[in-house]
Amino acid sequence: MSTASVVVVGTFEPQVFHPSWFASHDLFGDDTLAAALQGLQLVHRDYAAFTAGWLNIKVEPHRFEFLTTETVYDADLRDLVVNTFTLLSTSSVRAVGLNHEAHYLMDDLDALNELGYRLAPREPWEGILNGQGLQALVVAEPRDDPPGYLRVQVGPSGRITPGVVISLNDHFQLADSDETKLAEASDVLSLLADRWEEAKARGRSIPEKLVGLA
Amino acid sequence: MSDTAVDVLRFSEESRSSEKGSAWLSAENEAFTLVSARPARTAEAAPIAGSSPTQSLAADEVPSVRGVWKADLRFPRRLPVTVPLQEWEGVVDWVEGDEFGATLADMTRPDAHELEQDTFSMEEVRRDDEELVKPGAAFYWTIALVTSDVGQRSYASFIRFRRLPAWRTQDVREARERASELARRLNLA
Repeated sequence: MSTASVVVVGTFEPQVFHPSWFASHDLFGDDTLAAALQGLQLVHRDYAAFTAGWLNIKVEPHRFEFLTTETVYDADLRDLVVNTFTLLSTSSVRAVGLNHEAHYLMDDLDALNELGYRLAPREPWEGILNGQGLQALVVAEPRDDPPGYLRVQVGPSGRITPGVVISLNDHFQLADSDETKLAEASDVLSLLADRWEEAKARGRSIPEKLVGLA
Repeated sequence: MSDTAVDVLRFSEESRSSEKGSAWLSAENEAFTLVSARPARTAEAAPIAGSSPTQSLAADEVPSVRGVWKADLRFPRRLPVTVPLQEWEGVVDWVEGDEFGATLADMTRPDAHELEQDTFSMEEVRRDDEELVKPGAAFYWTIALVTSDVGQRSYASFIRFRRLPAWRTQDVREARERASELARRLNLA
């Protein structure tokens, strides 16, 4: 089981993003609109969220998330983000995250533990903690152009038992934290054009390599 | 990920365990979180040791170890899984009645430059996309292996027509201006 998501940090008005907004701009057909209305959780000035089949959308004043739980729809997700930010051309944005998460069913508990030992050996903890268990391991690698980082998180899966979940956050900082350099929606489009495929490839290869350590 | 170093370790004081020796699942209470990160080179990259502002909320749903323990491990919990096996990007060449023909590029092997032709039934197109099936329309086609929660495997075909960005008045005006400029330079005006 795996998910892919795009998170855009910027300034948004959540109350705008009712499913009918997407339909009115031809981004949803009738069936998708009906599914979205069925899966509508809330549309409010502070938060909007709905599910429509393969798609989950959550909007907060400073965060816009597009997520799919079906990797079959990776390209559709990218297209929807591109279409949305083409329409939101005047929005200011600060950062983009291209995220992938994969859950793997392990053969048994021994295989799960073996992976835990490989990633976080018990020896350094002997005499400090007894019967310790790894809950989350986060490893990150910064990048310079554009500034950001790749952040990988590993832990036990709560969805598949016995399983492991590996999450990747490819974070791209488009605007300086002191706002001396602002970014626009077109920067999101450029980033998706330039970085989507490599992020997607990492989203497949890194989890497979890590889970192969078991 | 070679340029990393252990940077932050966070402990829980309560680390009781009833199952010694299980690195992943031993703690009844939270055990510890290990954060390994190379210090950020830039101010923008600083959040790597904490939660990331662009991390998916779904990814933040890190399960509690306690929750995992409570699962009955005699019966591994499985979820339906759909794994893409091959993906193409297609462009519709013709539409006749309930069929359409398309030229396909293999997205699974981007280095393979040969194009393929195939014919599809309109029944394979989701209802939302039927009005989009016209010559020149672009679509994705994926063949996937679907494994149900009880382990039943089957192959599935997913055709999704692309909803490309609509042209805005400003886009059309700018395109016309660029065309006029190009025509002027080429003495075609």
